[in-house]
Amino acid sequence: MRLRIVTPLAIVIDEEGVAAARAEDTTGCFGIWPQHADFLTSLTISVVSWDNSTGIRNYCAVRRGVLALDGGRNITVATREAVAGKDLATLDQSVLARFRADIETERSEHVESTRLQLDAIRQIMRHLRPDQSGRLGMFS
Amino acid sequence: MSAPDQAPHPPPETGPDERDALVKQVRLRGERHERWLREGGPSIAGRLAQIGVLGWIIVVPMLMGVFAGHWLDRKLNSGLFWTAPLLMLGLALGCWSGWKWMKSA
Repeated sequence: MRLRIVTPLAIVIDEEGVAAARAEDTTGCFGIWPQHADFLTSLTISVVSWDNSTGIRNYCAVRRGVLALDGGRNITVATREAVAGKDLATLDQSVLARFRADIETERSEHVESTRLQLDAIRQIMRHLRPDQSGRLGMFS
Repeated sequence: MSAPDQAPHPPPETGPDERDALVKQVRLRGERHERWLREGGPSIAGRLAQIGVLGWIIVVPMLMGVFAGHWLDRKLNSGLFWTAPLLMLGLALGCWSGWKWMKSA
């Protein structure tokens, strides 16, 4: 089977040769084997797990999402947020690390955008009042 | 449990918060998995014992009702006047407490 887990920003998992998968919706936990009937369901905040071709179990925490199975072999999970991990015991740490990284990114983006804004304002001021800055403006 | 975690649509990002629903759920599953590795699933004997307890919870109040009713009927010489209602009362009590036990188990 092929498993794909996608968020609006990235393809988190795209794996061929999945032997079995587990996920959870509001009715509880369910498993999918090859040749399962096609279906569509909405997942809860939970952990999707699957066995890859070598029999090793992988995990991915998802913040809700939609799971679609088509052709009995293509599993697609579209979710808002997904954090993959090899070990269920340390997955919570991975999720926390992701939160921290996201906040760090947001912070630096904020700083950069503020800097860009200030630069733009400075540029405009220089063009509008060339006499004060002592340089040539756009219209002179 | 705090209220924001039970809201139908929590904010997508609540910071590196230990109380975030995603972290909570992941931890819960991690703990379950660990417990499963440690103890395994419930055994067949355990399941049978559970069913047995449920049976006794329902039957014992019925028997108590029957005995109490029979004793009253013998004292007052009134046929089945007390036995039948007390049997029904015992059944109702048993079913009710069985239901409660099932919900708690």
